[in-house]
Amino acid sequence: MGPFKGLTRLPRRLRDLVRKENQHPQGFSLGNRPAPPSGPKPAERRGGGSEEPHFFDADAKVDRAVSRKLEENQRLLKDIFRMPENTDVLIRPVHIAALNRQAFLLYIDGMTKRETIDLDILQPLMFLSETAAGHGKAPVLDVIQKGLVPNEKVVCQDQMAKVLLEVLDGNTALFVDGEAKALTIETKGFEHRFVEKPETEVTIRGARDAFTETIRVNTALVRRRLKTPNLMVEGMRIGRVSGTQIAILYLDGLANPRLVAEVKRRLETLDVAVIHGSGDIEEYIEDAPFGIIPQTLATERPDRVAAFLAEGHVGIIVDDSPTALVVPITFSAFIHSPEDYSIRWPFGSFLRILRFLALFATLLLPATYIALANYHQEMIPTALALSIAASREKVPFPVPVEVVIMEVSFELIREAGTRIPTVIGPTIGIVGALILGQAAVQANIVSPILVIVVAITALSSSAIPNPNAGLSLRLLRFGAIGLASVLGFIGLGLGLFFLGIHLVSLQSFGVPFMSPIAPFRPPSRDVLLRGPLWSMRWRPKFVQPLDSRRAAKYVRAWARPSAGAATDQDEPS
Amino acid sequence: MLRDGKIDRVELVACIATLLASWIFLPLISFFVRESYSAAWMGVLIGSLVVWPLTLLFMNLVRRFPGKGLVEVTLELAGPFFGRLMVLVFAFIFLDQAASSGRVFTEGIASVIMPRTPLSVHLAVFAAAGALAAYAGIEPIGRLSWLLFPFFLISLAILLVFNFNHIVSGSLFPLFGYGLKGIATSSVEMAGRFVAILALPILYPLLRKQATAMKDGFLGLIMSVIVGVLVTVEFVMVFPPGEAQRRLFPLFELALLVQLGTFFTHIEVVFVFFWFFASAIQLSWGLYIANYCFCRAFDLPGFRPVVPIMVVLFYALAFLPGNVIEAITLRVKTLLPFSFGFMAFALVLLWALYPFRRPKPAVESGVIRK
Amino acid sequence: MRNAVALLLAVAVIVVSATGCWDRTELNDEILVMAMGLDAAPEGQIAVTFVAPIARLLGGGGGGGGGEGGGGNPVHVETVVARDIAQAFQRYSTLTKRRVRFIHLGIVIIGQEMAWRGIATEIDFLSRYRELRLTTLMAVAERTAAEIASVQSIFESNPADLIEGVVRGAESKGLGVTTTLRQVLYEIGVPSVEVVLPILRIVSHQVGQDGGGGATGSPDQGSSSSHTHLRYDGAAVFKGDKMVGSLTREQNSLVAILQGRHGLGIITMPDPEVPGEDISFELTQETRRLNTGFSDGSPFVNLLIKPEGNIVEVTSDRDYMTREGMRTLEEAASRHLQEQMKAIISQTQSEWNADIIGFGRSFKKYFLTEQEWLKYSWNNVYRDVDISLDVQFHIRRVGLSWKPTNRPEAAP
Repeated sequence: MGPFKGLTRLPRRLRDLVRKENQHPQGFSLGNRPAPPSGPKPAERRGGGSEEPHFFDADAKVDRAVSRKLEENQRLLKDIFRMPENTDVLIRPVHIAALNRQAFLLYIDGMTKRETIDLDILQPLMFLSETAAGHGKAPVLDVIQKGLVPNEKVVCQDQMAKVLLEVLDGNTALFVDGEAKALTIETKGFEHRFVEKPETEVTIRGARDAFTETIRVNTALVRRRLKTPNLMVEGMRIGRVSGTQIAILYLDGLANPRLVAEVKRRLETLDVAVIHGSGDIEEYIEDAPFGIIPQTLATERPDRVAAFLAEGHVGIIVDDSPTALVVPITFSAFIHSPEDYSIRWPFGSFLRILRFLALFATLLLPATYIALANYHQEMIPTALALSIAASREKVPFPVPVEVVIMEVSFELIREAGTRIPTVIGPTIGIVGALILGQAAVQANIVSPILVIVVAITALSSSAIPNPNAGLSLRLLRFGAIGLASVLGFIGLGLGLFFLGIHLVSLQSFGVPFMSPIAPFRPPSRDVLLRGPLWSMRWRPKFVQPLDSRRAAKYVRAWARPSAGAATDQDEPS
Repeated sequence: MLRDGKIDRVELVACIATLLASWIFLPLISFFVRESYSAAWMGVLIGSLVVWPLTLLFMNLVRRFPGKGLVEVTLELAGPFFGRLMVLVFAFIFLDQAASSGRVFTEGIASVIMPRTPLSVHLAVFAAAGALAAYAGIEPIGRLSWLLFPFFLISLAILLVFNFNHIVSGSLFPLFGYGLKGIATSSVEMAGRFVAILALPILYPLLRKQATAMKDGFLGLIMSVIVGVLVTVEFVMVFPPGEAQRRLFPLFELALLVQLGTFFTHIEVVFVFFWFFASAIQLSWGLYIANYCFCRAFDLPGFRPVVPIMVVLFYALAFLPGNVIEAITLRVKTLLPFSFGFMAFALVLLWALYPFRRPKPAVESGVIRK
Repeated sequence: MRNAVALLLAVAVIVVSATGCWDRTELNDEILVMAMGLDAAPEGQIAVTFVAPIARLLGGGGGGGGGEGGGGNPVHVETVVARDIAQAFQRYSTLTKRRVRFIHLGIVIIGQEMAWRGIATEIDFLSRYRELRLTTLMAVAERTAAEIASVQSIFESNPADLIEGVVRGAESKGLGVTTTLRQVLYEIGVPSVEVVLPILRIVSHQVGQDGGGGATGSPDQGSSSSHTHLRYDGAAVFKGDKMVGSLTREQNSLVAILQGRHGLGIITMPDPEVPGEDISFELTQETRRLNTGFSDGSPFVNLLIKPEGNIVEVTSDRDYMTREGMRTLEEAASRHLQEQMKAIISQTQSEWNADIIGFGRSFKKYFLTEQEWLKYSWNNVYRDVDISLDVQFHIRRVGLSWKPTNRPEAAP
């Protein structure tokens, strides 16, 4: 594992500055570990013009300190932002009467909250500045910061780059004539969506808040569930153009430091222009980029992230993206749903068995039908075989073609159902399914039994709790259909064998995907089935948490004869 | 978290048991019934157990060379030329067992399930599965064999249980069948098939837990012996020996009889489906071990480039015999006794050379890396 | 990876375009033979009868079934004369482009003439061809298999099931046992047990004009007044591969008990105390204890059978529902069964010399090797084996009435 190298791929100078910011208690935290001042030297990186990807880069202009002259600052900023043409960046001149200084505010319209600027900055500076006049000798900026701007977060900056970063985040910068520093004032207030219900990972009894596009809201949603100082929310920016904020969440002292370091290493080494959302990050950091199985868990549920963090996993939240990523992940993500834990264990286990069957049905049912109807007719009971034969008498297509027609149609209905406006979406879904199925049967394009098969398959694929996993299964299904059409069950066997090899070779951040079954480790009673909560005393071993104990030896201490005397002296096995 | 290629305890058990039990797909049982009539199970029992003492001696030898397996020890003891020759024979035994199993298993599929599909396609399917697994390396093979092993056992258990109603009493008598000579012949042939237990000393340096290697190997052996004897007994009891020696594909025949209630009456395909996995796993191990032997013998740094060669060899070996009868008899009558003989020969030779070439202390040997 | 994608695409193309690759066939391109008849034909040939349902006429679900119901008998029966079964099979399959398959074959019927001539020469196809299962039932036709095959079903929606259904039904009702191809194969080959196959017979019934005939799939315009049925009628006894005699239906169910298969069904015997009246028992289960050995070098068999049953009918006015009455009935039933069974056993010994019960199997354990057993030659010995039989019948339940139904009420 490489050491904690470099911080981000921000514009070069910004990166160095941001690193210094770590020393500050306030501001955007980038981790508590002291960062060794390693990383590529700016000079080297700047030199390689040809091999470096061509990014938009404002380095040359940004790379300087705040000037003591107000006009110079203003000119520079106007130049950086191409001011007259760039309409949403505003410079608001102010005269601070009491201090008798000229000043101006820099902010981006729409990203800021107007009342905050009016009441917290403009009003005190313009009208109430007498109150601070008595300070006389004190430095001007100090006076303003401590006495004039009643805002929660006012930071003194001396580097232009730093100021820009804050402004681009939606804060306001205050430049005062004669001062070689600027104040950045917390005024973020862009319009955003509020916390809503999850849309794809619905539960009945579980929590009903979902991530939204704002990273702070998202981290807060997780933190609300893990009220411990050990919850680390480390931050970094990725994307030279987008400058997207990323938060790495883990429980310090529980998550394996090597895992955390690996996650950071993979994120830090990303060098791209734009990060559009967590999907980008997922693709950039997964172990097997050609793997068809998702190797990270993308979820829109903060409770799910919190649950994984509590087992020693690492969460990644990306700004502007309503899904968070969890790594490492194992095959259990295919059948586990947060609902399992909000209902009692027998039902949770039952649902998991159901999902497990759904998983196989999604993958194999149409292929099995082809294999049976085309290759292994002896397996079909005689009466059924005859009725299939009778119903197929007028169908001109071979079974595989029928199946492909129907499967593609149903995938179309499904895709259309998600794209069509919500009001008519369900209608289209039902109408499409009904009309299509019925009409196709009556037109003798497909046989009736196939409609049943495809319908059950469609139902099964909807029962898989993880949409990503469901997607990969739906894709693999077509492969299975192909193999079954050529070689029947033997082809299916070959396909499953390939899939098996792929699954056991796959690793998610070094954790074998099929853990803890292959390689076999004593399970934590939460793999295929779920044990009673009080019996699941150990965290899954495969993420190698620093402390694998999840609960005291006698969780239900009240139920013991010597209630209250229970101790948890036992050793992790 | 990334590790060198190593196999776990359960994976070793699955490996040994699959390698040793997959002979039941072959018509060996019919062969044994032809040789010893109702006493076929004795040959299976004796032949499969007789290799264990030899294995113990091999293991004893290998353990005296820290960090080395049978291949490395052979190279060290028997010298670069003769040692390599012996290692190549080991490789050949594994490759040939894979090839003969693959050929006859696919012949079974072609005879029972899919007669019109060319055998080359059936075998290509097998070769593809085995090749991919061997290419993926020892960890995936180990994990997959462990993952699929229960299915193999469960399918066999269902097969045995649902044939109970077909059992004909008195089929295991006369006790000694055609007499002791037949039993002895069967035993040698069976032992020849169980030479595959050499996987244990060969894979020894790749075990994650070497201390329990003997225990795990024995467990695998015993499981395969139980499977073999049970299948033989059941086959002879369901098809009394007179008929049993006439049936070409014993396990398929048993599968053809299974009826789950009145609805699922013809489910042999499902069994074959699961046996396909077992057979492919056996093939993967065979390819991997042959590959390993080859690469160690010639000190090749990586094994992946050799996989395609091994697959082609496998394919060629599988197609060597012209027809199914030849495919069966060639192996049973010549190669199996040869394998057993070679195992015994190698054992004697290596132990005889040992006093002259003891290992120097603190010699470390590397492990093949991906 | 690009190669893998190309491979996948290639597979997809093959799938879409592969309409006839290797083993793939559509169910509607197949003829599923469900019963097969084998008859002796002149000049050493064989007449093979194929019975196959016509899926089109069986009606797929509720669709056009009603409209096409009048189209005719949904079963196609065809007899082909050829040198062997394989040749007949090939000739039959040239009828249509459809592929003839035996994967759903339920029963093979052997004509009586062929059964007497010997079936070993013809059975090889059945044992070798992959689509035939060894679980296929075997039966003997009273006259010819072709005749049995052409009987039309009255109750079944799929008339091709008829023949197999009759045989299976007979077993579940205790009238006899089924014999599969697997049993026939090994029993033909060994001397220690002989084959018993059910006999199927055609019976005609005269019915009135408004009889139950309306239920058939093909109501004839002329309203013929007779219906033919299939009936399970006893069993054929083989010695080796040749038929040597037959058992009646009653005898056959007793043979099932003797063989230790689960004997079911109803046994009727004369009333022990009132002549001319009958008592019927329904058998529920039995225990069988077989003891074999040699005394002074000659083999003996002691067979103890303990059947259990319930009374289902007592026609006389005698009150047997007392402890003594029960004992009387049990003794009478035991005696009755014993006599009947003894008669069968002695018939197998003296008349046929065919060990249909399979006593020979339990003698094999006295021999160490197969060679010795073969030298002993059970075939020649069976005739003289000393077989003693003991039957102990037990009554468990008597139904719902405690007193004879036809007895006038009287004060005790």
